[in-house]
Amino acid sequence: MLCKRCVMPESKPDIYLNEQGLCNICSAFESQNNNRKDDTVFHETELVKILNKHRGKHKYDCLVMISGGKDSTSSLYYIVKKYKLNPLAMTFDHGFENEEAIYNIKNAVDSLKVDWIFFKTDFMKEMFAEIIRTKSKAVICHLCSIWYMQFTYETARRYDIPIIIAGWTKGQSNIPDIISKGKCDIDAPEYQSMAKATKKFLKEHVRKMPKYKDFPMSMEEVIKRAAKKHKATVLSPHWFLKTPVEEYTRLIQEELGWRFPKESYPEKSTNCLLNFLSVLLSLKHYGYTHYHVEMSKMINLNMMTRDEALDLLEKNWDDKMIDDVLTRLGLSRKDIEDG
Amino acid sequence: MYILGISCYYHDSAATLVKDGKIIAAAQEERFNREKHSNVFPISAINYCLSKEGIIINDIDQIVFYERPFLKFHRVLKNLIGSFPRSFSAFMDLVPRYLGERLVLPSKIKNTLDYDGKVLYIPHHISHAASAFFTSGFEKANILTVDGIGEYASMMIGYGEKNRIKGDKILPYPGSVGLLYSAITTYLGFKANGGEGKVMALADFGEPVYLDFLEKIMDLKEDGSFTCFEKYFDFSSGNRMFRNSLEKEIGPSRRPDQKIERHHKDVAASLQAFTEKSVISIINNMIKKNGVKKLAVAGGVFLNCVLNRKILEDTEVEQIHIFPAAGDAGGSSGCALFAYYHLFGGEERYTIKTAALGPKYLKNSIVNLAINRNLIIKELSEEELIKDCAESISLGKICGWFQGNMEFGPRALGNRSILANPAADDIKEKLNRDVKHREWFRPYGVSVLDEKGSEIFEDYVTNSFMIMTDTVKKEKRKSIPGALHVNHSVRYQSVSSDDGKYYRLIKKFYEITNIPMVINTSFNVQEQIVCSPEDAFDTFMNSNIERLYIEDFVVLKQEGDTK
Ligand SMILES: [Fe+2]
Ligand SMILES: [Zn+2]
Repeated sequence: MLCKRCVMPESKPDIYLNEQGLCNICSAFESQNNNRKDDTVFHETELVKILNKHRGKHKYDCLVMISGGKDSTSSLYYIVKKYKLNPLAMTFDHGFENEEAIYNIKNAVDSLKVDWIFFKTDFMKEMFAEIIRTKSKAVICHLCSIWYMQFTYETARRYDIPIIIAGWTKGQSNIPDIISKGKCDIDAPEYQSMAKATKKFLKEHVRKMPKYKDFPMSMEEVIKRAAKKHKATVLSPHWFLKTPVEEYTRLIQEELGWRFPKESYPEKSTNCLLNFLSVLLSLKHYGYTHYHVEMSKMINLNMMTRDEALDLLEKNWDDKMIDDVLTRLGLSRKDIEDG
Repeated sequence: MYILGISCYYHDSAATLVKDGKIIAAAQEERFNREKHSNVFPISAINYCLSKEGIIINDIDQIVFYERPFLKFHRVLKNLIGSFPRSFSAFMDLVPRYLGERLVLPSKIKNTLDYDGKVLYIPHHISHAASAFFTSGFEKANILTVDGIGEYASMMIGYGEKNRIKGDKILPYPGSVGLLYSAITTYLGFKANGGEGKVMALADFGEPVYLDFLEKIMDLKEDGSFTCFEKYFDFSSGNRMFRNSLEKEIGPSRRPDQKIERHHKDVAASLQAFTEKSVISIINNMIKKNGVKKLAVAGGVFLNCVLNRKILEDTEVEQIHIFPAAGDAGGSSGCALFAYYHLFGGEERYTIKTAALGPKYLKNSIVNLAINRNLIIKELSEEELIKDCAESISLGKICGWFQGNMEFGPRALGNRSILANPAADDIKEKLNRDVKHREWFRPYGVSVLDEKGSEIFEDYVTNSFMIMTDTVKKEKRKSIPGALHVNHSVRYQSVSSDDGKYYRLIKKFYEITNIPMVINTSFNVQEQIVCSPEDAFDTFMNSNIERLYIEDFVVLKQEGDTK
């Protein structure tokens, strides 16, 4: 059973529908909406204030995490062209990055003339394989984000950079939380079971792997550790801009020669190859993915319609992609099958 | 070069972005925060202005602030050039120094916008004057600014030529048209600062039997100046701005719940006549002095459409330009324009062509919203949409019309409008009672095809911002009962092919009905005019507006709703 308004399937205990057929994400929005007016809107002038506070005081004004997708590429574009800051761009590749994404990044950093760090490692590979081997329900993307956020903070400290810029949309993370606490909202009700499984996996398996003895046990730990050593504000320009996705996509296509990847999930996004496996497993374990949650929020923010979201979330990629990824992890299809 | 003008902490907060001497974005804060006549710091309007150009505050060359009258301006001026009233033609020469001494950085602007440049303060009436003259396109003109709402500094007489304006004379308290209008508004049982328009409408139903009396007690002089004596008025109160002695002379005041009697209509008519007489005398005097017959005006009083018509009829004025946001919101435009010409040496002049300076909304945001709210929405080609809307209006349906950029100023001019058929007998009652919930006596304006105007009206002049009335020709009166006011006049807006879709809509309506006009009233039900599609849907769903034409879509209240 799907929520009447958004794309969330009923998936107890985290996602449940009320009598009107609305899921808990939608009904939370509804009650919130009644007392939301202009004073709680995040104005672009607020963003500019934060940026100006740090402008010109360090070698780099900000560290931009760029994945080659439309959201992060446009963030980099705005940072350079509109806000006229001097950023350091940074990309992580855990070995599964998509060639087309890297092409987009190269193009962007070249035409915007910004310094760029490209960090490629196989460090995470064994952890990913371990999830499958142990039949854990931990979400690959959660582990990955813990790892790359830690790395981002370390890089910001290494270069003494005061602001970290991400390309998150309004549906991806909760604004006040990020600004005040610098964290993703994996604590939100809709992520409870996923977060629990990830935590359990970290505790029971990752801890025991000598290679990962220093690996943070949660996003909170990442932030706590980082805060001790260096202060950095994390934000996304998209939280403050009213520009619709079609418009900034067109902008980077025209200005930076940006291109959509041939195959992606959700459609019209740009993600790594591992993402296909993460999605497949999420759907299997929970019936939904973090993309469903993101789009549910965007529907509630009137940034897209339900039909559009359902279209984008339709699973129509080639299963060969999954086989490729599994092979590279030293696994095969039977490792992800039940029994 | 970008100049940002701000009006706030008084009435009607607003922001205007001027680029190289032209207004390219302007909006009132009330439209965003949905608080009528909001006077808070216009943060949403400022953010809109910046986003329209894709710029940030760092790109602004100058922020200019429109000062509230009296409190600051008069105090400074008093120190500067002595006591009032007196001529201060030397004033403009003093301005650079005046500004130089007051390069203050108000903490609000610094804190809210993180702007560390200098903020200039432009006097209230100079801002009004600049908004009028610098958008008029007139090579030279007399300038008159008269505040509409209970303000002390009532008016300024000035003159503009090429890229310069000057203020010649200020008529301050105690002779203020705005103050007098507000006082009588409270006498008639309406609220000051909002009820003035109702008094204006009521005036058409009465006879100015108290005109002589008003002239006498206010000592109206040949030059148009007068005094609101404290014997009759009490300006310390906002609810009852008159004294018992006034009631003794012209009869008891009206309680808000009391029926409107002949007497009340006559008082309103007398006030209107008095206002006209004062303003007309002032203008005649200006022309007598310098022979200049072009006039640029601003200030809330010039939202009085009957007065504006009288100026054309009873003075030698040949051409009048009225800034569409004549009230205090428009001060944000005026102060920015003044800075452009006077401080940055701008030379090239322009004529304002449109008041559609506010935000517009993309198709996607409308579709998403409509679908998420389960509204019945259909996309149409422009031709279909216009045909559908024109037919609906012709059948007596009341239609919401939401297209393009929102208007700046108090009038809806075909971008955030409610449209109806002026040929329908009962349309005015239907609008007043079922949709707008207004008093029975309040008339509606029309939007008329510019090329047909002179066939309909007795003394037609093009009037793009709906700031004038005219008398309908005798033979045409029968055909538009829904729009006709009691004295056979109608407030109208001229619509030409420059107005695009709206023009084509009225043209289509004309093809169907042979009537080249539609009733046009602002898209709101008592609240402030709608700004976003969200506001439009809210108002549409909670009112008796029957159809909504929003950008390329028609929205119906129920499936299968046919004409
Ligand atoms: Fe004013
Ligand atoms: Zn839902």
